[in-house]
Amino acid sequence: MTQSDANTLVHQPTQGFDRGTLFERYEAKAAGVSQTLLLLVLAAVFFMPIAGSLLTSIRTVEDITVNGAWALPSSYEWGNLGIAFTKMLPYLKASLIITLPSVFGTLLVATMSGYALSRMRFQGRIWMFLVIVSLSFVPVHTQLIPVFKLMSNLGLHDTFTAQIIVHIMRHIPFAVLIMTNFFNTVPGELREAARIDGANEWTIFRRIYVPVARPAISALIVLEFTWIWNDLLWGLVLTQGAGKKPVTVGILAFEGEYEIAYNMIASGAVIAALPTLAVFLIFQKQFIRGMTMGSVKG
Amino acid sequence: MGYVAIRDVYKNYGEVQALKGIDIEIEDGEFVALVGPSGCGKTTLLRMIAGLEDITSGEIHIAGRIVNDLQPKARDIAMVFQNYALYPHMKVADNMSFSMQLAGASKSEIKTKVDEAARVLNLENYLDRYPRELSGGQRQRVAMGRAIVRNPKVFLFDEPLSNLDAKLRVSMRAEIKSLHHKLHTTAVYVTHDQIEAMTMADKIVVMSEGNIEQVGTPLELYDEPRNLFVAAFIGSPSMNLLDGVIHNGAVRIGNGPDLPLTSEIALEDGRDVVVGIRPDTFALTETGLPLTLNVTEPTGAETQVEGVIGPTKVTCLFRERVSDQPGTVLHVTPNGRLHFFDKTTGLRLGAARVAAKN
Repeated sequence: MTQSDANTLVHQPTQGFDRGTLFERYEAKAAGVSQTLLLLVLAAVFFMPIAGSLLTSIRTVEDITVNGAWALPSSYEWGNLGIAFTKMLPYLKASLIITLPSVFGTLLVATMSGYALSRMRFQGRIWMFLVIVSLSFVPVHTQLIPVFKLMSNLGLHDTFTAQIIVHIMRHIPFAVLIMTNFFNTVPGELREAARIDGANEWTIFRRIYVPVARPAISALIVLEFTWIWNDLLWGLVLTQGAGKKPVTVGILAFEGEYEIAYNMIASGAVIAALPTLAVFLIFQKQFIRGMTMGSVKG
Repeated sequence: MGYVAIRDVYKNYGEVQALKGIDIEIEDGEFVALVGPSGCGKTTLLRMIAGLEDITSGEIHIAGRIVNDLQPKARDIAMVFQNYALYPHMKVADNMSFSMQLAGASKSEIKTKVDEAARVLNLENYLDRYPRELSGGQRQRVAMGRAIVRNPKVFLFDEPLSNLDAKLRVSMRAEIKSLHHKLHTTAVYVTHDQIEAMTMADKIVVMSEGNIEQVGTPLELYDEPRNLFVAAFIGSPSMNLLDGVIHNGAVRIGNGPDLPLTSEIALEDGRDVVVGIRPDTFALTETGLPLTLNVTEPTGAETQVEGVIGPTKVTCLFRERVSDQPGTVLHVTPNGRLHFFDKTTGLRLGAARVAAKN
């Protein structure tokens, strides 16, 4: 067959045609299958510890000692979770009292400074942004003792206030980075249109930019809530009595002097994880939906 | 009323001069287009009228007030942005009435105004939708609705049609024009598209590099461009500009024959000029300027021919169908007005026709 024949549209029997090599034809399918396999393996790796904790939380201590963590429980002790919940209740309360204001405070500062750093033009804007963001590079361990001393001197040792202040301080840099970058993606014309409509800076921030930033804010709420709720270090350093300790520290109370109640620790961990799961479920729809879609050309 | 005066306005960004002494008077109810290539300062000027940019020096008057130090909201203007700038989290009705809400208008007053604007713009069925649920043209109309609701003294448009596809652009052009006829509000319209300016505006301001090149009605600019810039900018396809020499009351272009001129213009012998010839004023003739053909683009009704006369690229528009191969030499003679410009200053000298041979 000559070259010109291959280029004509004359009807011909199908067998003579080049359908591509085996590799060319099955490349996409093979890639798809191997991707799925890889994802399944990764999913298993990430799910194993969770499965382990869930199984451990409903065993007896004897069962754990005899059969190890991965076997199916010899008896299902659902009561463990109830006992853990009752014991953990004061810690859960403390964690809420610490986490909610910390998340709120972080977001309040981050949205306002993100707006200012992104939208207002003032001397030293870039430097201020860099300084704020670079604070997150300071290792937390170098801060433990100074912050402990500082809080003691301020008379704030073993208080919720101390923990809230420290959490806000630690989380502002990241949150400011996220909010500044998000506001940078919002078209500046929205602010100008609002100015012409008669809005002042605060109104523009509150009625235009904050609602538009809902996806970013929701993502930050989920992340910050999880991080602050799961914090162990500051809870250990800044508290003394049982009343002010967060739930992560509370779990350690199940460590006895001579034995560790692994089943109760796991139950406590399961209970402690529920609020973060709830927060994620509540906000996930928000940050998946892109709010700026359709505001400008699209 | 809604007249706008711009008097000796300068704008500097540090060392860079964006506007170099702009003077424009805009009558009440007039539709003025600011047109020019990108970077000419037209958008900067519009934003200065809106109050979004500071004025380095000079004065801007709106409706009898000097607005230099006034906030945008105090200037009694409304602006339609290139990317619409609709508030994405607000429904159409709220987008249009945001300014009234801020001003503390009553609910019934807001509803009346919004309904009225929606009726004018055919948006009645979309008031409960979010911007993301609308098409480009509908979003553009909402942006205009937001401006109408404010009932401003002056409308400012910043390239409002450049995000729409070609067909929609033509229909929105007509819509904006008819809206202006209905409302009779002063409008300042920025565009880089000279066709848009020509078709919509009562008056066009041609700008380049921070200066005004010419102000006039669309046809004034087309018929009597004041300089080479305006000559090349206004009209599509744009005017051909060829070097020529005056010789005994005739003009010689390149190596072509002498084209005797009518007596409307008297230029001294030996003067170097630039001759401007509109593409549609060429006629195919037996003798005349030799045009070496490069490309023919038939559109049915007419044929656009690209070629060279001497060293200069030329575009011609013929009513006849031309189907010669590239490289063919045709002969053309201008049968309409020739525009003459000074070769060194680029300024207009006048116009004349080619005199009929006797």
